[in-house]
Amino acid sequence: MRHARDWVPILFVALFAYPFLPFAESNRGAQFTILFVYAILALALNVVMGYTGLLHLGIAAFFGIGAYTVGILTVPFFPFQQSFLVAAVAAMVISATVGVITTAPILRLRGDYLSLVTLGFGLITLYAIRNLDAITEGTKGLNPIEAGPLPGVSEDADFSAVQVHSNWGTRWYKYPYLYFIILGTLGMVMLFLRNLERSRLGRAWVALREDELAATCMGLNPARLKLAAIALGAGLAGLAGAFYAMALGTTGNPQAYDFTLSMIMVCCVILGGLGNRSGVLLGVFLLMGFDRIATNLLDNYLQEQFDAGARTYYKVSGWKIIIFGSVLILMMRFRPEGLLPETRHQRELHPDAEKKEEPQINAENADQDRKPSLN
Amino acid sequence: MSTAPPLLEVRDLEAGYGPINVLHKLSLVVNQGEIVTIIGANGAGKTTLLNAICGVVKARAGEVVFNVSPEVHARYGSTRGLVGSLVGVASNLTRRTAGVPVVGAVTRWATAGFVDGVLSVFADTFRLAASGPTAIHEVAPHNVVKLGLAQSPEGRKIFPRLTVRENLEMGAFTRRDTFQVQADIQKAYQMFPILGKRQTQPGGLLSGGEQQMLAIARALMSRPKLLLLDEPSLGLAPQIVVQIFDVIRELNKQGMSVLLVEQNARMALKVAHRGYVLETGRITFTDKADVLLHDPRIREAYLGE
Repeated sequence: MRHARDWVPILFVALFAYPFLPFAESNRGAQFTILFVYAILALALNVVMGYTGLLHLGIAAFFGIGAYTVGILTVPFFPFQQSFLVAAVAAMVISATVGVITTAPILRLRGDYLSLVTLGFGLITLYAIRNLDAITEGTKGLNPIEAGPLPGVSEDADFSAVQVHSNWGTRWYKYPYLYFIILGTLGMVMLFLRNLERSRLGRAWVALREDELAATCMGLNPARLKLAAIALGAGLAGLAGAFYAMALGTTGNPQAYDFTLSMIMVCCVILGGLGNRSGVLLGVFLLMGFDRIATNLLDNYLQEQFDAGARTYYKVSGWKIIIFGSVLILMMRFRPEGLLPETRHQRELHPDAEKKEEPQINAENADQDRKPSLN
Repeated sequence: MSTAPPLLEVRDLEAGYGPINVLHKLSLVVNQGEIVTIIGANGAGKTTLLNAICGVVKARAGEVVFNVSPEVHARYGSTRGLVGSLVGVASNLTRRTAGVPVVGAVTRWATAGFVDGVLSVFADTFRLAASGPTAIHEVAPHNVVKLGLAQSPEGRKIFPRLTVRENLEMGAFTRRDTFQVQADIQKAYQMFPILGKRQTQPGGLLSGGEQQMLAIARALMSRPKLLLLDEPSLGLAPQIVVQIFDVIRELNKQGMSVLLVEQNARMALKVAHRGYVLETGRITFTDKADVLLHDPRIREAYLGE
């Protein structure tokens, strides 16, 4: 899997360099920024789904909780007026806490039942957000989110002198470099998860996924390990939500945190490769990139070429969901382990590939087995 | 026999699944340094007994009393509050980073150490009231391991997609002494050279006998005082079974107490000091192993003569 990892640093360098290139557009930069946010969200889901094997269908709820925490802590409507840093940390902590509190009672459930409860949790959170008018302003969303300056940066610091490219970054009032901040955060999340996978905790999750009874016999506490994964996943999802609200300048319509988002995130994780960070990144860039960027570009192109008017079936965006569905069906048929599978998952899904290795190992076995009988 | 309290004492234990009781008022004793075997037919309740001892199956009545050594008590008995745990985080960090000069490696180990440490704040809430004989039938199964009881489960149950080395490291999951664990892994490789040769291979690629060796080595990694072995001969070639039993005898010579559950009664009685015969959840015979081996009733029922 060596080669699969190598493209990630290159991608990060390229994305970092993008705003400095002559053909960069700040509009595209804003789209990329949202893409990075979704990448963090998908990595969060990957912690829960990929590492411990719990199918979580309510990750969007934590995304929403993160976004609304930042909203409540920063908008002028409420008396808190915190800086974004404080709000983001609070969003992580609150999401993680809610995750632990809501999951702890249902850990005894297995498989489909647990998924159903998480699905229900996602729906409840969505309706709560939509109907708690007094706190969340219902379908209007909390706005404007103009978080106070970062600690150590003066209120009216002038960033125009260090402007990267034409009007790049003017979109975000006090955080002109949000593109870089979120890209940097995504990079740190990737590094953090990489280290985590190799730690004792990461291995414990794998062991738990493989055999819970044996893991218990080794002294692993399954409930706590699952809760740790949920807490970490929910916390990261909350962080993604915080950045989402920041980048949009509003928490937006609660529809942004509905079941569809949870489902698309599950698709991203599965398409990219369950359990593999770089695969998940690829899955998000392909699916969300197609959804947010490529369809618009193709629509415009078709419009220019054929002048089809407003008819939906002449637009790629009209076929979007069908294309999604077809890609997923084809993936499940021909490559169920995802585009860039994690090695351990691949062994699980393609036992045949292992058999090719076996003769050689058996030959070795036979050698060693023979020795004692000769003595 | 000496007057020292037994290492493990099971008193009037009842356990079962759903409406059915599998074990009926079962009592047995394992003394320090003994190999005790439990033989019985399919469905007699052997595996249930082991699972009830280590807490995976809840006891419905009766007691399981385990003699906790002062050394274990020193590790888990002291009150360690939040401050102590935070000190643990710090020490974990320094231990992880010590002696690794490369910056990348330092950050890597630092994160791992940090996460482990934070987890330990939440995970190490287990307290042990006293050393000496302690009732353990209400202790959660993952905490029973910390007391010095390790099970090698029936059907081996190794982690097939973790490497041999990672399997062994999982066995030492409850331990915090990283360097000692590495030393113990080397010891395991000395005891089972084949595991050393295959340390980077996934456990699932090992042969049945190698998997059984791995399962035993993995159970030993928690440095138990009592090793519970559930049918180590299951599905293995006769010659491999002989090797496995040699290992058990060797472990016992080094001072390990073993509770061995077996269907292969002849082999089990040959290595054991004492034996219990389990029939439909009740102990029907118990005696020294060589007496059982020559008892005509046992010979007829379990040794096929």
